[in-house]
Amino acid sequence: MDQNIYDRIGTLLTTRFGVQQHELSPEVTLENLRFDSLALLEFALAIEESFGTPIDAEELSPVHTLESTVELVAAKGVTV
Amino acid sequence: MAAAQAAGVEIGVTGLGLVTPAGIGREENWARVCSGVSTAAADESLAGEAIEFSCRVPGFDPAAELGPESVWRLDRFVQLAMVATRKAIADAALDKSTWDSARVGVILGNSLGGTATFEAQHKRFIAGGARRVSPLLIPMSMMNMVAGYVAIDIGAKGPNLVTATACASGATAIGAARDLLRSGVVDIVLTGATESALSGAVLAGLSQMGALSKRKDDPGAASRPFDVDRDGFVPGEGAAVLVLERVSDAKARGADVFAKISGYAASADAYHATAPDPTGAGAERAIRAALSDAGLAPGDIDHVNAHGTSTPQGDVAEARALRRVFGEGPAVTSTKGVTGHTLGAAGAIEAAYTVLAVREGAAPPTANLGKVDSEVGLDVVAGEARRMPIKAATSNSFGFGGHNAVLVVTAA
Repeated sequence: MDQNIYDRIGTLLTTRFGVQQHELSPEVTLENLRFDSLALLEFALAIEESFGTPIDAEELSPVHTLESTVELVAAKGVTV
Repeated sequence: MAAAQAAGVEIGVTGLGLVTPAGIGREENWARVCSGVSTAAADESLAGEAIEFSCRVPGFDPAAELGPESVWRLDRFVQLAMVATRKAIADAALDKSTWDSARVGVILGNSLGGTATFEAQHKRFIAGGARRVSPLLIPMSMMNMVAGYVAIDIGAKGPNLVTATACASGATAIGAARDLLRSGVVDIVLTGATESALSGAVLAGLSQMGALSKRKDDPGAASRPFDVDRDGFVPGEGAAVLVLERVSDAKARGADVFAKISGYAASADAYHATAPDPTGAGAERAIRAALSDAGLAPGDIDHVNAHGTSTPQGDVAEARALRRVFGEGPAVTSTKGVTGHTLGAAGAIEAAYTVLAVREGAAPPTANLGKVDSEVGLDVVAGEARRMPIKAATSNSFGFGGHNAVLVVTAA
């Protein structure tokens, strides 16, 4: 897992989405972080803007963990 | 319930939730309103906008009140209403775990919706196209969502709607709530209104209409209803929510009834989009109809919480209507001197103040009233609150579009 991408997603979650630092872990799912369908769409938009790579709504699901979210972003060829 | 029987059902106010420029909570609001000191002040967040002063809710912290997610999921007009609703429920000592949630209604007023959200997303749309627009734009900015979100927050599953009669929206909501309770299909209604539309384009529009005060060098003196030197209103934000129940139900559960909503009526000027009918004929019809609805005569009214926004035309038109109905009789106040004009929330905030005036036996003063306009000709309370027994009072609300809504509040 790319630690830099993980850290940046963690910062997005804590600064933009009201997630608490202690809730972050590679294993936690977006569902566990209280993301419903609308929030997932907002999160996808935030990732897209932060990393400058398109994320389609259907690519993110509630069962994504932070680790699998990082892998999704990394697979787009993003380097931080 | 037969119509004749329903008309005799008494409806009481058993809780108030106030989140306004005059403070957060019932007691803080009443103290500030009775002080007669305006809340209008320079507003750093409006730097460069068409008006740079306003009446904001002081110290409102949505993250602390509603959790950190409310900050990005909810527009401020919903946040204000949600906190006001929670406070109203607590004030009424209602137990959500035991109420019949299908018989709890939510009827709130609003005028402009989530304009700050809309304007921010519109900028993103212009700059980056459709893909940059937040999926939360619609649920954050639609007016009706405030009633929906409040229902979700408190688990109220009865009738649920938002009234839109511009600056009369709050009074319209309370009137509709009273009628719904009288019909017997609900036991409790959370009713009131909210507004937070202090966003650039909205303020520009109001400014271009010539509706706003230009007293930028002395914002604290800008909201001065009925004063000879008034020059427009000061835009404000806020929310007020009232708990309404049938008085018989309230007494059965041992609740404190603050006052009764004994009359309600509405009318339309059918005159002009934004200017009031200068004769005040539409307002007069609503006032007379509300008195009739309450079974009261003009001489029974001790106090009037006027719409009085501090605009040159509006205050005089309202004064003409009040003079024709009441003569110089009741103690008239516009609490907008203190709160500014909270637009769609104003009718609810002022209904709450009218309830408190009846309960506390005091007519609050009109802030900044130096010299009453000679065209007003009313007993306008100035300086300090006037201690007096108030058995019955009216609260006037008028809105762009020519909407007039009047509530009659009587002692419990």
